[in-house]
Amino acid sequence: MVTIPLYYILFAYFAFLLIFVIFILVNLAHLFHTGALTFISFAVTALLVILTVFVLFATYTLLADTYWQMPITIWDPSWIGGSSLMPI
Amino acid sequence: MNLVRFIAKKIYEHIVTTVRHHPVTFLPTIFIFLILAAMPIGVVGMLNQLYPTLLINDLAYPLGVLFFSAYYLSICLFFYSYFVTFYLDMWIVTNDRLIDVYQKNLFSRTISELDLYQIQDVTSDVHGLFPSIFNYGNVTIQTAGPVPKFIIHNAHRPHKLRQLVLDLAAEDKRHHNK
Repeated sequence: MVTIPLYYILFAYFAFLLIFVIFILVNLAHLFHTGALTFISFAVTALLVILTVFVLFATYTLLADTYWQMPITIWDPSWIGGSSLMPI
Repeated sequence: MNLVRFIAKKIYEHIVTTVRHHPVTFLPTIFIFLILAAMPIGVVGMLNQLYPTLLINDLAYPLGVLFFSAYYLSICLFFYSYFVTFYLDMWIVTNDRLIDVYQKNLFSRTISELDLYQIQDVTSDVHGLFPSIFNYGNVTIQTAGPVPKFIIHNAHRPHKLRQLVLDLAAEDKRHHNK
């Protein structure tokens, strides 16, 4: 049986956040490069920032009491064979 | 960087107007993203009905929260990327040329331009209920240059824009015939 602690899932989430930030920066670079820094682009960017902060804050609040050391079983031979080949 | 540097403006040139898609044409996108944003509420409600203990499970709860967090951030990202693509797809009219900045997606942009004195014919058309109400439509420009046809899509006040392009083209032709 293979288990990982729950906080490993957070690494995947942080990797997603990194990609998210990179794409946002690419978008901002496009706006800057093409001289499209207008009130409309500023307003939509501000809306994006507000929504992002709200989602991240809600995520943080909802997961504040989570026990991150909890083990998750990602592979158990019994899932295939019907009984565990390796005793725990 | 500003628009002047982006188009490498000539000394005698000045930007007359910048044309973008009419904002109304972005409303369907907003509507789609609102539906996408509302979907998890329905999914969570359905899961609550079918599996009442699932969302209070020590493992499923944090995984679910992280999943929906990533989902909403993805929606925000796609919305913003779509807006940037929409907003950067534009036409810049100067007193010397017309520059078409075609932003296909985030990593694909085509810039083409035509000299105003090469313009042969300009047509504006407004078709449909919403274009008629909000006064937007296409402006088609026939040219004698290497790019035979320019189409400005969903421009605000297309008839006025057509007249503006024709006036500028006539002025540029006079300048070139001197």
